[in-house]
Amino acid sequence: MSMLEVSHVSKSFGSKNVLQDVTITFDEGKIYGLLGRNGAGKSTLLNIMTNRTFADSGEVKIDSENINDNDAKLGLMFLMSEVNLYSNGSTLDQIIADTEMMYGSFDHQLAKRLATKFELDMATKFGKLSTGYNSIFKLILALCVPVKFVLLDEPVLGLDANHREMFYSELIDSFTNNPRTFIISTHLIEEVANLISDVIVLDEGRIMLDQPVEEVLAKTHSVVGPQRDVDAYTKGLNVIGHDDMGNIRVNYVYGELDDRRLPDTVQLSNFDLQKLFIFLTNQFEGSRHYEN
Amino acid sequence: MKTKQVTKYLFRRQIIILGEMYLVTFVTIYLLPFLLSLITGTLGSYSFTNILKNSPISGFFGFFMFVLAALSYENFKFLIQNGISRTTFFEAQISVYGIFVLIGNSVNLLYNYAIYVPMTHRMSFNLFMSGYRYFFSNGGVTVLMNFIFSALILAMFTLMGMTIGSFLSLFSKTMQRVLLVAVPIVGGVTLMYVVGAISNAAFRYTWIENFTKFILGYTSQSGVYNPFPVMVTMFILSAVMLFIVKYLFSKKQLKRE
Amino acid sequence: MQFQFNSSEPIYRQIAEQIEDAIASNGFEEGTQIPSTNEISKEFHINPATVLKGMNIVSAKNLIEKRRGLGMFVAPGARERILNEKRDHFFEQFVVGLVKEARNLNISEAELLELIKRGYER
Repeated sequence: MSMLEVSHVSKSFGSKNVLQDVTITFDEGKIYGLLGRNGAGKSTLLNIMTNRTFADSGEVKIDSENINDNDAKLGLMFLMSEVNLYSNGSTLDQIIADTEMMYGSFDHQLAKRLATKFELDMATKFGKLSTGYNSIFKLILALCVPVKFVLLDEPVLGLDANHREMFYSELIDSFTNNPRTFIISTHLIEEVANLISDVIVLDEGRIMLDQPVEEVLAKTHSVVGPQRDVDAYTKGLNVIGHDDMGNIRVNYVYGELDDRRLPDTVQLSNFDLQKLFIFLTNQFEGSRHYEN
Repeated sequence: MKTKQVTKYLFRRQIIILGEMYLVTFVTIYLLPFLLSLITGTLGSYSFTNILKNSPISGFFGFFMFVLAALSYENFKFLIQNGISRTTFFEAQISVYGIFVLIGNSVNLLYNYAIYVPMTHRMSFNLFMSGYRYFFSNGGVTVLMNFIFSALILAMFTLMGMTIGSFLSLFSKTMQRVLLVAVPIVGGVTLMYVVGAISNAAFRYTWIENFTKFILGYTSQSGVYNPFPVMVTMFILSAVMLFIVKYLFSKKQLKRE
Repeated sequence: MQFQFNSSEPIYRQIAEQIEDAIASNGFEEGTQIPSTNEISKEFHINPATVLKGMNIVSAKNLIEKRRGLGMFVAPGARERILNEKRDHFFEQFVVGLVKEARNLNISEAELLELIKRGYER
């Protein structure tokens, strides 16, 4: 089993601290969701992990070996990102051939099946692809290279709903046929909420959350009822946000509930990752800024 | 290490670019005058041999290598996307340019000795032949030394291109443009100043002049120059640039676009 | 297969419940094959490990059984056992709440019984 470790990584651009002492461990065979708002440092982190840029301090290791300038370790990762690092004049077939040469092998059968499914003509030149097909082609590459860690930075950018649906299904198919680590960076949390096994929330360059989704959700509690009763019940608990609907209040609690007595008027349930994310990344009480 | 694959990849990509450069050049200096004289009806004055005589075909190669070597960022992008380290990129790139220089230099000399000289009867077809061909009495040694001397010049051009290219690739696109405009101006002014100062009488017969004469290989015999000081100088400069390029390659990063 | 997921309960538990519901309603008949972990996972974009966890709950109750190399099949008698279990929970799950709500609305016991009768006649 391989392990990808990010330890104490910090990075700043000018006076802006993009990453601050980030430490995460990625195990093999899991699907991680790397969540964060725009500018939270997700892409920078992924770029540092794949040695595209350098951290100011800290290091990235695979199986306790530093990945910096290390072909053997860098070859275990593939980062599909928004920036295009292929030359516009190359045909897709040519890029696949070159990619295969660099990684040592390539799942041509899968690539062919996916190209047919997404109706992508492999004789096209890379520069002629639309935004959606640009993403699709890079996703095909990501699924077909023989790596242990597949890093996807905003993978469904520009894909229509139908293609997104197809992509998530193919991702799971590829994952079950060949279990390896996926790290999916996205702000479309709802789409990946059930897909990921572990969630990492990055906010302003810091890790806010790094846990299995199941454990995280078990700690989410929405407490609904008359305002007075709800506030009394949640007193002393970690209330991260609330909603008011007339006299009815919902307090969102993140953490363990102690064995305090639940009043008859108050109801408990869990809430989802999307809500948790919004509350965790907008620190002040009750302020709700939905993006997108 | 994936040096072999990367070398293969870079060789294939860059030999194509090199070919395209030659193609464009040939079209411009041979075909274009031909078409022009065809259009203007002065085909009689068009002479292929004349153009051949007057165009420094073998000189183009050094310039092409300079340009090719300066454009290294594109390859870096593809290689870092595919998990190739900077060291491997550097080693493969040096191998490819080494092969190019050997091939290009051989073709150049072959062309000059086999076609250019018999056609024009001009012996001074390159820097070595113009300056240093009288130093060796043995013809074979002259050809061999010509090969080494020319190869060193090509290596210098290539490494200069690599140095400038990888230095510029450390900066953002805007900064690159500023540098591309500012450096030649500042450099030109400085050079003019230095040349002015050196040609000034006060500098004559000083150590600078003696040093320059030593490097250029002045001998007691007029018209005969010793190529070895220049060659050693070029070798040292190449080694220094190689070292700088290796350092600059290790600092390459993906730029924020 | 018509699964619906909400956010108020862990997904693996919802998967177990919905498989049981499908067996109870004869959506998955006894002796027939049910969708594989991968199929459910792919269809609903749920992590395979989560689906497996849900499946394991159902198979731990011996409601579905594995046939080597073929997949999961509804076990004989599964439907009856699920219905029995649901009957056991009927009182807690529905009657208690029904009575509570009836009290809130000032519906007497006799009136409630009358209403239940009406419900059966419909």
